[in-house]
Amino acid sequence: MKLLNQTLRYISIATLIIISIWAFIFYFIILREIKNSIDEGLDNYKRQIIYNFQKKSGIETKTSFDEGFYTVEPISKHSAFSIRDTYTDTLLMMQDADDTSPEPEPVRMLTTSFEMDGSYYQMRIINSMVEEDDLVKAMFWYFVWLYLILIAGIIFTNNYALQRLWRPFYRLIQQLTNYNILKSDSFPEVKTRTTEFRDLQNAVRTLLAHNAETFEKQKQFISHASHELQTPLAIAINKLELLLEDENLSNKQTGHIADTIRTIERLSTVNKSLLLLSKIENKQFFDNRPVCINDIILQSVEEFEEFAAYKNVKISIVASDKLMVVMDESLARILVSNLLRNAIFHNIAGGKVFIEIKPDSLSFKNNGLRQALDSQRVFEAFYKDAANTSSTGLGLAILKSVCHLYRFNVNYRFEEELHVFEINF
Amino acid sequence: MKKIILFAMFASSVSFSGIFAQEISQRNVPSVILNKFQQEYPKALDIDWKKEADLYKVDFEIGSRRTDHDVWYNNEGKVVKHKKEIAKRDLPAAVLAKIKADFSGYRISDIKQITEAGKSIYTLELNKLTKEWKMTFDSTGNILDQIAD
Amino acid sequence: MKILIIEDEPELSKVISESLAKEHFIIETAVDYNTASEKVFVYDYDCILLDIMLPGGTGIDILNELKKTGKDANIIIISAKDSLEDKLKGLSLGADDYLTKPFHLAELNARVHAVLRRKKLEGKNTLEYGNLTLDIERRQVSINDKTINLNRKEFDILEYFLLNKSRLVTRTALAEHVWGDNIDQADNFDFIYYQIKNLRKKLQESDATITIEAIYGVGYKLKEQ
Repeated sequence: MKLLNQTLRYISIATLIIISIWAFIFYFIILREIKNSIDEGLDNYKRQIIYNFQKKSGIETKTSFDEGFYTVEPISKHSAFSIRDTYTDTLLMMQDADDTSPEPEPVRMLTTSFEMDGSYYQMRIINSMVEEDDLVKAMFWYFVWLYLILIAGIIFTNNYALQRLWRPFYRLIQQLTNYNILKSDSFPEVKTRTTEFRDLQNAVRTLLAHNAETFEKQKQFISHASHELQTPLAIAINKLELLLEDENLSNKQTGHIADTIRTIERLSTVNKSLLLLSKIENKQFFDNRPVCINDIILQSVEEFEEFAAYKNVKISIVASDKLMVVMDESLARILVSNLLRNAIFHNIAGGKVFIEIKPDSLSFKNNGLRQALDSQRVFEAFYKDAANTSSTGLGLAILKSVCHLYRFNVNYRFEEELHVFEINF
Repeated sequence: MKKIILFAMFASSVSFSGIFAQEISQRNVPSVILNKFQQEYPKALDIDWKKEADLYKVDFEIGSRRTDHDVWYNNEGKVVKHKKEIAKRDLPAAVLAKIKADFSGYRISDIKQITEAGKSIYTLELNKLTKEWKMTFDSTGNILDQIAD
Repeated sequence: MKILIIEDEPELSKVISESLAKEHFIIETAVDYNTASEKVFVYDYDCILLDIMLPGGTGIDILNELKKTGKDANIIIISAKDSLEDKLKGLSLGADDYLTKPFHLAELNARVHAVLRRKKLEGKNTLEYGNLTLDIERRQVSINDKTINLNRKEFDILEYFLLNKSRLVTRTALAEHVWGDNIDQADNFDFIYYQIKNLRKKLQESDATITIEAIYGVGYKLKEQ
């Protein structure tokens, strides 16, 4: 559930409770106000009636409300003095304009007593009252409306104000989702004056900066470690080479030493590849200029000519246009030679390599195993098919790394019995 | 502490009115008396009822000048006493003459007419610099009471 | 011929010395910046092998100083750093070659011979052994003044052997020299074997007095018959 909706839910519930309580209290307040108002009216009636009696100097006894809104009856002096002005709610059979027969109607009744010319009278005055259930009903609906209007107002405020307020937050989330430690040059940033979001942004940036630093250190560590390995490897290889030249060695010993050298060679090759990878990832190649891929392919093919001939692999180049790419030339060479070497080495006797150069893409197709490689993992470092143990499995990883550096798109597919590697520049 | 304050308030109220008085609401005033009062003073404002022994005392103001009135009704509904604020020009000529004669140069204030059993007496205050007198006169100008204040 | 090895790793220095001694060079070594710069100023060397990272200073500083004094020595930088920048910087400061660690002794040997030759035999850039002459510039090989046809790789291999006369050249060193970096394919050795076989055949057919001798399971040696 979205934060906005959750806020809305809580506010709705709270509003409902507050309004219900308020409605309850408000009902009694209004009812009292109404009664007070009616009572005041009754008091005024009373004064007017008594005033009129005094003017006319005569009182007609009235015992029912049939003809008017009051009754007057003579009472004893004692009873008269025991009466206090009292207002009561009572029911009276009345017939309104919209009623077909008399109905009990709620009325407010004032009971009083007064003295006139030595006689005492009791008087009752009535005024019609709102029906309480009508009032409750009316008020209920008013409050329902109030509630609905409030909720509508809150929804509107939510969608407008809150949405606005939270916008930096959603932006930050968006940026964080898109953040990539390899690709992103800058940390997520949102423009906001809200303290909390600024704090969040700062916390996120600190965290990312720390991550980036760790990442950087890790890269440097690989780079340093690889460098430090170079000298010991050199010593080992060279010492063994020197030992090989010893005339007194038996063939068996020579063989062992040669195997050891080869093993160290492999170690050295892996190390060199790792160095190259870390150099690419550390962006230590920056001599970017327009490079003609066609020329580099021709040079590379020439370089591998004898080997291709030995492997009985035919290389054909189809160039529909000159392909110019802005990049470091040595990386361009690494890119092409890795693709070509891959296409020749994993080929079959009598197989073919098709190189296709288009204005914005380059593809190498070659024969080889008659089944597709794992296209997800083919570019991973140290991925190699089980049959080939002498490969370091870093060639394609380096290729991928170079493409990554320049944001080229490289992909592998198996198509018509051919392994296809394609780069889109 | 509270008890002491209450006692002090009690004592002051007794000394002020002279007799035991109890504020009552209009609802507790017998309708006969209430109606009589309402008919006599239909324009009364700021009405306060008090019960003093078996008398009902009503304190109210009338008119735009808010002249203060105190009216006492007995339990038969008859007015037994009426005390009201009056202006200097409403004082009987005899009283004014007496003041002019005996208290020349005094300023007159807080004039009240008290009518009881058909007779009126007048209370007022006389001020001159630091001197201050609380005076009571009858309608013929005789001094009934004179207290230095 | 006097060679100075400036290398802070004593084991590496020792093994290089031993290898170059076989070529009848006079070898001296320096393990830090101070010893190195002292020796460079006091004595003259035909070739200096220079490590970049040294205790007390860098090989680049030594290069700078050498350039100032105008001393004429062939300098080969040996560095663990395979950086194009360093390479260009070194070469621009007068170094003749740049070799990245780890390297094969045969490769070092070939480079040392190559730089020494370049300086000593101005203009006449050929390698000779027995009745065979190899013209580096024109990429031509002749036996008894008769040109023989070699493909590019065969020529590279023969040149490498000529720079490592009578020395053992391992197959990996050969493959690396011919192919450059990243020779991690088993196919390479078969290919090298195939090329050597063809080369031998061509030498034999032209009555060469030199022969490529196979050292069991390891590599080859160029010998005069």
